[in-house]
Amino acid sequence: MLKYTGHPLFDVGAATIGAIVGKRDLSTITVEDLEQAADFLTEQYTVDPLKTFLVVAFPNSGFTNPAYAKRLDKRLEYAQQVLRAYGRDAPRLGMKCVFTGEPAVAVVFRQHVPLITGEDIINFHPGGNPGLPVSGEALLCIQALPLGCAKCSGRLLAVHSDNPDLTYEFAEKFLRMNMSAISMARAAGSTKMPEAKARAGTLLIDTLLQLEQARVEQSRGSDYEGGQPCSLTAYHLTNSGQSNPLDPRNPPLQIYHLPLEMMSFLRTVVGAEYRHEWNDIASRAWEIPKPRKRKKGEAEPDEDGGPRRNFLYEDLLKLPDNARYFLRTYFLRTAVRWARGDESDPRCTYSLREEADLVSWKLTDLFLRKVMNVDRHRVEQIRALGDRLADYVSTQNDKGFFRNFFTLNNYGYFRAELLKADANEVRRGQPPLITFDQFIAIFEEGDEIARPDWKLARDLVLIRMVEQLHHRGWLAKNREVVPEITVEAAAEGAGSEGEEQA
Amino acid sequence: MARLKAAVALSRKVLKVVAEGITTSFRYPHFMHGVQPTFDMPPPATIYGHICSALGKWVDPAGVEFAYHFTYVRRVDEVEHTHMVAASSGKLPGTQLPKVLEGAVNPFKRAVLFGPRLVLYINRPEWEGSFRSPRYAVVLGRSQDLFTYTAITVVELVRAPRAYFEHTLAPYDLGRRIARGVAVLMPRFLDYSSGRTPHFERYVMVTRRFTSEELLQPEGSQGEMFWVDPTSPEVDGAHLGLFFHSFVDAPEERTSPAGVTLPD
Repeated sequence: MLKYTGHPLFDVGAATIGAIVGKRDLSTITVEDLEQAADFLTEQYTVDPLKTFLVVAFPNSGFTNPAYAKRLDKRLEYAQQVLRAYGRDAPRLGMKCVFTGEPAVAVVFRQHVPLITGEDIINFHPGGNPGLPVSGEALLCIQALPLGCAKCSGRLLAVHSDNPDLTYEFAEKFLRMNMSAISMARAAGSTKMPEAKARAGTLLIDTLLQLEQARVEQSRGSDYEGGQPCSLTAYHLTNSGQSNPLDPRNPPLQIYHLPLEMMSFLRTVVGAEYRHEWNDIASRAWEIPKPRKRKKGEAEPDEDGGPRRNFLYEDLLKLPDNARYFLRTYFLRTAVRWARGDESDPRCTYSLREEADLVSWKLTDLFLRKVMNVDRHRVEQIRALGDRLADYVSTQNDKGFFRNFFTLNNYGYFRAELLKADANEVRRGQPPLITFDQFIAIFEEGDEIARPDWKLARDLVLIRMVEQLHHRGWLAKNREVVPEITVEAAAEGAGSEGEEQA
Repeated sequence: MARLKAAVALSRKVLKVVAEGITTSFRYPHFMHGVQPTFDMPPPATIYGHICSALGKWVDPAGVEFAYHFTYVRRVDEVEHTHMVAASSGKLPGTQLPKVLEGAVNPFKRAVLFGPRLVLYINRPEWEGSFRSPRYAVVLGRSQDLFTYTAITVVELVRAPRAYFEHTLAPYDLGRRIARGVAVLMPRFLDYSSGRTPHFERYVMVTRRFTSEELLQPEGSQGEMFWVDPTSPEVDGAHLGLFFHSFVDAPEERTSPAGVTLPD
């Protein structure tokens, strides 16, 4: 009866129907299942707290119309119209459903489908005929959509993937969350549905990692990474007339893309090989709750909320464009300059001096391969140079070289410093620190012409060098030589390089 | 049989059109109110409309194939007004003139791509003259998104064992072998003979460069050959590879599903 179409709102709604009737495979859904889903939605949507909450999805619909506030019969009548328009005996309109291509049974407007135009508006419609023709099944699926979304910052978070299993799992998880929230609201006698505690981006990544973690555990050590590649797109939306399209704090729609390469990266980091390192970094990225002042006579502040935002998760959504900033901040533990003064932002306290144990070449290597698509040969050259320089710094105890390598931002000076150390090493009868081929592969496009991304290469060498020096115990003994550097978040609109020496 | 034909062909002549503009926007279907996000690259239906605009008529889409390379400098949001209008009746105030429309101005945010550049390949070299003298104003995206053709040539694509791909739309089935990009549902064709009935298809939008060596290899895919543009910039010894799309043909009927041919 149902199949995925690729349209996010339809597909998430269809997955929600599947979750309501407990069928992951939509092709096995029967008319009886649709009836069961329609019964369920009728029961939920005509009473609080969903009756109130549905304004976010279907303002001015029969579920939310204030005129029907005390008219259960009207709400039930409306539910009958929109939830049971499927079936062979439903009258056809002679048009095709815009979602499924099946015969349409109704023309729908903004009160039925989020973010389309209202009744009678002829813009955007062929022939000046307002509304969208839809089938009964599509109408039911769209009505089910809110229950398969998280309620987040007063909006719906719908998560859609070209992998049907993932779309289903998100809808199923959010459905369970919503049903739990509905039960709590009813138990408390509240007409308001509780919100998800986390922000949309954080909730999205957190839930995704939980789902992927569960899959890894179900695969029991088999080659999970070889699973079906997929991308994911999340839609954080509201259809409410209260939202101001020009208000950047509450836009009607925000779209988050996780491309195939990001999904592959996130699937891999939850595996046994990387989980430990990844979790260490993720746990240091949670928002630091601000201490709330207690007013006189007020009870203890509610502490069950926990942090709402994980900066690592939110920054993941800006990748791969923001990759260098991401590497420096999370893998090289470089503090974010613009976050200074924000006590809730843990990134302003990042410090390589204090957190060298969090630097992981293994994780960086994965990031380079999966997300940044860096040439394998170049990565190997960078790793080898990091090892060689770590060996040099620890055996020669060359603190000056380590510090200069870290802080020089002029390529000419940086190159001279490297060549000076190289010459010193050769004079001592040791092999050179860096070969000509390595120089070309890592730092230069031609003789003394720096690659545009030479600073990125330097950061990568540093990551490997720091990891090795930490393992050798050299960094612990020489903490004072590690400079405290800050980085600007490019995605936040600040300067291009944005580096400064502390 | 069609695949066999494609496998035998060693070259093919195509029309190559370079079009540049100041702004463009390719809105998502079904998101009409309050905000209009844009796809990162033009949907096939937009390309079909563009071709028809140049030719000055609705051409039969069957058999027409296209590939493209699309870039832009930056994405920005702009504030626009939509005049949301509805049918009306009565008289215009103070007159005896009939009022047929009424409505209100609604502000919304539209995502706009600044500095767009399209390199379009069409398997119809005979349309070169039409693109040199386009029938209607050259636009891509909205009606105000004026474009200029900066180069129109006929090029001979060749088969090559290696290619690089970037800033393009890949077929969904092949796109998943890339492990790069985002799967999207795009309008593929609007049937004007049938009330602008929309047809949709899934694709993978690929913005970053990848090489043919990075394609995940299914069984029996050794010896894959790719259509490349020999006049494109050379990167590590490879030329730009092209994914050809059809507007209406079913995937199995396409002569070259993605510019890629597996040995028969």
